[in-house]
Amino acid sequence: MNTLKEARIGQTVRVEKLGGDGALRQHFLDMGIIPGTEITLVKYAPMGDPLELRLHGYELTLRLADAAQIEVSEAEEKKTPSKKETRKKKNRASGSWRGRKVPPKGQRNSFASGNDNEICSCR
Amino acid sequence: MKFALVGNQNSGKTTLFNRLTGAKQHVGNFPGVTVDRKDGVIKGHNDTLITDLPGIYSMSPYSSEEIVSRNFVLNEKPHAIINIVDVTNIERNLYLTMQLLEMNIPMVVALNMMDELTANGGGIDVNIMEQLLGVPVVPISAAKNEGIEELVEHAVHVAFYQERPVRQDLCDKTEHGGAVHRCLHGISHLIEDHAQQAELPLRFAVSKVVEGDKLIISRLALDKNEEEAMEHIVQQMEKERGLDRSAAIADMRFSFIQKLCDESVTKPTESREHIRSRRIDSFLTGKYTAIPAFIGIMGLVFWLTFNVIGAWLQGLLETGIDKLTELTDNALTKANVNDVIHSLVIDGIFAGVGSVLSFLPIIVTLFFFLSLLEDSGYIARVAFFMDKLLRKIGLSGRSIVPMLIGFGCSVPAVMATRTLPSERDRKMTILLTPFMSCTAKLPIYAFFVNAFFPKHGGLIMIGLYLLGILVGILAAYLYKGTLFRGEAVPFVMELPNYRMPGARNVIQLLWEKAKDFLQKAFSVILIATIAVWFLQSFDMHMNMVDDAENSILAKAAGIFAPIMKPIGLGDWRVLVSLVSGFMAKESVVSTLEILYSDSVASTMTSLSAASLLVFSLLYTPCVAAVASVKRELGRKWAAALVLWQCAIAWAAALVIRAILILMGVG
Repeated sequence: MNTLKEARIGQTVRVEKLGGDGALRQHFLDMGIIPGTEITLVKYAPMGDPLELRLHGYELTLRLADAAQIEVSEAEEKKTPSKKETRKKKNRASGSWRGRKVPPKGQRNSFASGNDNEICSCR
Repeated sequence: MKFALVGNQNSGKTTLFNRLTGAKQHVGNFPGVTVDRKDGVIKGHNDTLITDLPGIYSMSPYSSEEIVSRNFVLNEKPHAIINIVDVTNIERNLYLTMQLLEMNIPMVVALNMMDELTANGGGIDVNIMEQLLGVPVVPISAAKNEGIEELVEHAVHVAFYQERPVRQDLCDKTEHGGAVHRCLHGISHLIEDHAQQAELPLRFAVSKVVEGDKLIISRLALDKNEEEAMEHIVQQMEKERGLDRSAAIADMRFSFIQKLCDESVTKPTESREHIRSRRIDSFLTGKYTAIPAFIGIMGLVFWLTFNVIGAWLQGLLETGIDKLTELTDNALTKANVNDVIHSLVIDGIFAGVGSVLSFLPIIVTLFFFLSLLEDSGYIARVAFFMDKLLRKIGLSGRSIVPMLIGFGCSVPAVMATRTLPSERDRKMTILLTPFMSCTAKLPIYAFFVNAFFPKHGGLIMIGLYLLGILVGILAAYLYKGTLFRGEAVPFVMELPNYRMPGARNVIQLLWEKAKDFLQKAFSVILIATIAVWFLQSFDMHMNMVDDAENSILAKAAGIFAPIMKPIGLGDWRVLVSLVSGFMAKESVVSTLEILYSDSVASTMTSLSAASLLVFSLLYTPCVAAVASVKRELGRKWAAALVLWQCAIAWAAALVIRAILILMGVG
């Protein structure tokens, strides 16, 4: 298995395992580097380090040394959504987003599900 | 009603805060830590108080910002949270939202940059998102001032009726055999009483316990048996899920977000803003173009500031001040005002404050450009490609930001170190900012270069800046080997899309800077100039002196003469001006102007002038900068910094003097 450090520019890989420990590891997770995530290597900095990555729709930079702690495998080709699917989604998203109204008083009924604060559903 | 504004960095939080509060803001500090805190009253709701929490990505205690935000929500218990979410980057932004839901505090989600998303063909079904998240969701555009009123209405509503998030149970029972779900709920029953006693929101405590957050675990005060039981449950989950504990929790959150987005978000193919950013980046962070572009941009900024815009404004202001001085002078003569008062007003206040005030345009202009660079997203790129270089002196790319600001003014530079995630980097960066020659030292350089080296003016100015950087690098190596051993913290940073900086934000910032500077000019510097005028106009017997050499000041400064003699600065007038430079660097020149009645060039050698230039480049930062260092690092560090900088300055001046003498100058 390879690490993210060995990825080529433009290549998309899939995170298999995240090394490291403690607060830093948690921070990597919080930034979205989780096993299963697909990461694209965008470029190297002009001096060869750090890296620019793209994941979850945003750009992140990491040093080579940290990238070496992220084990990855090659990701399968991404399938582009079919035309039908796209159209279906478009319809749903139409309409204006402006001018949301506040419910008149008290409990908003749209998501009042009886249980006013459901933390655990196993009771 | 207390509100907390929480969101990721680069999500438009500052813009929204400015929109919500207008000009009514109070800038302060969170207790015990050095993270900026801004409070304000929401426009049209006088009974509200909203606190702008620092931009964070998670509620895990990674950076001091995250700890501050977490503690604010846990301990100060705001009546409601306004969570700003950047919809152009929705997955990562919602990760924080997921954690905020666990705090069990009424909350409104503000979907910011909605205009950008829809313009690119994307969209969000707000009703579905609202259902799934269990809190009100309001689409807004902070930059265009759309949806803000609705957001405020919703926020006030949930705060008033204390409508807490309906759902906190966001783990999927069916996913991966429900391992994570069972683990969370098992622990939830185990620690319920403890969480209640420790006044922690239960679901938040559960997540943190599973993640292994030591701060929260110790706050829960579990006994040995409970800890063992917990550990057992978590290990069981790890085995079933095939992921370690923190990864499993993060994965659970992102899986929920994925489902949420599949249900409610239509993503644009690729936003125009992102395509634009990529194009700009191919040049600005390109392999061969990044460094030249950076040098070009910084050169342009400094050239525009010091030669074009700032200098032009400065010229205007100076003419105005000169006119005003003349008018006042004439009026005082006409009115037959007492000589002492006349001298105080004209030679003291007007000469001193006037010369400092004329620097306002330069400072404001420089801050204007720096804030453009910062808000546009360029500074993050600079950190990206300078990281490797800065790592050589034991820092990370992020430190470039405060250092660059240091060329403007050390005070905001020291304050900007707050964004650094590690204490070590922060301290080291703060100690290095004094080597970045600040704008307030410019009048000193200009004054002496004009008087002594008019032919090589530009060269000497650049030389001084480079000397400062060089000595700074040497100092960094020294710090790295002694005070701050070890590696700089890992460099994990977001590169946001390039954006047009908002005019309101820039203006608000400039106004703050200008106000700050004027306050300084009319308090510290006014007092300093009056004190200097008094000390140099009177002798020990409180008689007005004709020759300043007999004044109190001359006698007092004489004490330092033996120390400063070896570097050619034994003249009492120079010593006095350097002392006044501690109050504010600008007053070195104004003091010299008061003290040298005739031209400086005739009373000083160019050798001493060179010495003075080097000394004033490196010696102690002004009192305002030292005060901000004290605020960040404490009294001891601040005092040590003052002495240490003076020692370095003295040594450097000595070396330069020796070199010049060997070269046959003077």
